[in-house]
Amino acid sequence: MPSSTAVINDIPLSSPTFFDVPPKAEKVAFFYKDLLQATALNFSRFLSPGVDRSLAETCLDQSLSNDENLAELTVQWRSFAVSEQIERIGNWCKPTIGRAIAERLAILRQCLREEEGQKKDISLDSLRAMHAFIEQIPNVRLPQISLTTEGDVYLRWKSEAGRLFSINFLDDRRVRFVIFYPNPRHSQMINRHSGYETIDTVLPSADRLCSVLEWISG
Amino acid sequence: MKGDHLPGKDHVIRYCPGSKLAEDGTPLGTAFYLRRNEKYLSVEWMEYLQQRTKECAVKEVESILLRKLNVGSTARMAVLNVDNLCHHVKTQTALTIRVLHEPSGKDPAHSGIYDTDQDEMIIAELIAETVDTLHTFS
Repeated sequence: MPSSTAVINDIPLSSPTFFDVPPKAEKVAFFYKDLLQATALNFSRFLSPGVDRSLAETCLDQSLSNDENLAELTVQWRSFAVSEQIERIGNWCKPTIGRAIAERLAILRQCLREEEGQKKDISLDSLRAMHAFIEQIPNVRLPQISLTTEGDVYLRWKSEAGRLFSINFLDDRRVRFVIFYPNPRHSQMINRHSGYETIDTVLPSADRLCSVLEWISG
Repeated sequence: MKGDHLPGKDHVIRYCPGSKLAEDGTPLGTAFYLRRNEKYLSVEWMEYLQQRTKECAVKEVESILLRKLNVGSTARMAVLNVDNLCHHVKTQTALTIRVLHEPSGKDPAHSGIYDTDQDEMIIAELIAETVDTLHTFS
């Protein structure tokens, strides 16, 4: 068994991992939830009986404009956070691979905006999950990268011998994946598996099926 | 007519946006994923357009797509043979997918690849393997 597999499989199931800690995205979501709740509370105050009608309408207009500002700020914040995350991937400890992935992501981001509108962006949760996933692989080979219409990241490794491993990061924890590999007893037959897992378990699962770590590592 | 199966020897063209292509321009599995709430993969039926050559049919599809979509500068059109794609999915997974005519007023050649959601990721990868030829937008 390759040593890399042993490292991943040796993690006791009960020990806390990165994936048990609430991600930054959730903390930011709480912040936005508070802002939205405050806006809703303002609405209910304006609509209470006894409140001057014209004053209520002015305040409502103001509040609606605040909502638009909030939406715009959210888009700006997300765009900034995506750029920051791509930069973080570019400055990763394996600089050649990190830079290549970051450059590819920047191109794909441009394509996505061109096709789906300037407000469309790569999913931040998906991007974070991809980064956390790829950091688990020692000497990872550069994958093919693309985006779904929703802006989720998709990675694919394909080798000559009918082997394929592709993974679609649905949010900050969940992934779908597919593995093709030659049947060990019938070489002309290709085994095909697909699944739905979390980013911390997908690699051990895929590796158990067909030693995927051996051929996605360089 | 709407809902008719396309003849196996015929071809369809799938619009593949730049964000779903590999660096070398070949479509990856994501080019054959359904959008949210989509029931089938949209394609254009080449032979329905009754052009003299395959190149003319591709040109015609190109103009249809340019009218309908916000075509990106790096996008491609992937030509697929109906029999090849259905047969490949059937033999490799035992799943059946269908290619049906879905005409609309402005786009009578519009068709759909149905039932890819049975195992979307595997079927999308298999469809990507059956791409005949790729064309850029002029």
